[in-house]
Amino acid sequence: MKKILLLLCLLCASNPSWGQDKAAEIYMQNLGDQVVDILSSYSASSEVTHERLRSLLESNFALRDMGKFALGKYWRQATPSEKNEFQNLFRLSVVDHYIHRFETHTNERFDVVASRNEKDGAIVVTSDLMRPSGPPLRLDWRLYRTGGHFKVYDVLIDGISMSITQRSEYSAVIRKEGNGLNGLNRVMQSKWNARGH
Amino acid sequence: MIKSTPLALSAVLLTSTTFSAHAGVDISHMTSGHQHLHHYDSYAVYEERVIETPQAMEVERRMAIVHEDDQGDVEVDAVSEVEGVEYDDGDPIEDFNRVIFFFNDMLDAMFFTPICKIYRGVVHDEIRARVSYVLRNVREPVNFANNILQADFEEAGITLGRFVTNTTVGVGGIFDVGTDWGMPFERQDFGMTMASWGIGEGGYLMLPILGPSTFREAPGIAVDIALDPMTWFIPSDAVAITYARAGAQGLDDYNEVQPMLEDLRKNSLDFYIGVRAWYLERRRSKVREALGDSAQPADSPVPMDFPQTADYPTPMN
Repeated sequence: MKKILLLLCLLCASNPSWGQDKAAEIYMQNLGDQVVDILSSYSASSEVTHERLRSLLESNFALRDMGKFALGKYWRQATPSEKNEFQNLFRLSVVDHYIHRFETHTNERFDVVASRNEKDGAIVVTSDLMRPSGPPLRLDWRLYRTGGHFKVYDVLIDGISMSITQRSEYSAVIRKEGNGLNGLNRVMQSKWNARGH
Repeated sequence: MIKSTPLALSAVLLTSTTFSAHAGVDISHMTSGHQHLHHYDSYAVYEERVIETPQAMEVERRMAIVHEDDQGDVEVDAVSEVEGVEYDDGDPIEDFNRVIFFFNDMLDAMFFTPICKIYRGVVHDEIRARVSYVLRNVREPVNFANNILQADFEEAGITLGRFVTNTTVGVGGIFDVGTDWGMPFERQDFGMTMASWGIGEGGYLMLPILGPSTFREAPGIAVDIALDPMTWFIPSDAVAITYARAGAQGLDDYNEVQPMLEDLRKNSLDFYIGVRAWYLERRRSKVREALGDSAQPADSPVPMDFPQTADYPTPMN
């Protein structure tokens, strides 16, 4: 099986003009299956589930680059220690956010539908989350291949980009609070504390 | 969209600014403005670059002090780089909107959320789905009218085909046979039609009871009602049907967004800002999709070390 995967990867890598990227599709299907598997093997609220989902997200999501994007140009104006604090809070809140989302989505099936290569080098993998009630939820994953690995850079839920929504929210909070990135960090910290962590 | 405009400088600004010299900064392209400081020997070169995306306006300002000696040799004394960020929330009347939002939020808690929960608790999933399909079918003439106004006759044909098929074979729209027969659903409204004519969003607008909208979408709602043949001839004894339909549509729409609202209320850093960010991105994505543009956002994160053509900046630290 691994040999077949490798062969597919090589085939796709050698032919960038293809409209689809089988290797990326396999990667995404595999990632989705792992999430479904974790959720079905343990009870949703257990420590093990949280821990496994967290490590899965941290190794597959480009959290640092996503955090930097979410700040837009405020990133440049921040001090290194503010940036570090923000990246830490960002990582915690994103992981928490997705764990919360996944938990409410048990008994679902994840199907990769298609993929395409964007002009800027991104690979967009389209998938459907099949729900027991209601129509399938469309999820688009923006991936980049860096250092031989795929990483998730953005998730579009029914066409809505999580990264852009986050950036709008963060920059509005920064402006409302004043005090640059530090103001946002304080709000994120108190939100985090209020959620019982 | 990039445009360069000269930045007006005053001597006061210059004398009060501390310059730090950056070695190796190329200022050859920074000739968009000149201002003489003292007679003829020194002058400031400055440039302002504005990059606009739907979500943000970035202002990049650079300045250099250039000395010319008697022989005409040029020496760059100091260069400063100032970055300004002016993110546009697209919300010019935020204070007003926040008041309406507060009012709507109370109505939500008192009426709409409880009604919605009862609806979900009492009416079976499958029946709610069928209600959605019927309401969607009844609205197809509005989609059709907007297809025509957008001069998208191919899509208009599909909408008409869907309407006829679903009303007859699909038993008044209870079943979406059209989608199975290769005529997929596409929601159109007059806000989208105005977008296709090049009319901008015009800013975030919180409507009482109806919720988030924009200065473009809000009048669009009225036009869509006028475009709906169902509203043209209402016999006086059938007004109740119109109200019932409007009520059902409102409940159906609210039922769709209610889980997300609850999530935002719990998890966003500021509920008002969270709803605005989510609504505007959702609406923009739906407009892009309806107009057949790429369903991708205008901007998204890229790897730091990735060869890229986009304007996205790399960190300085």
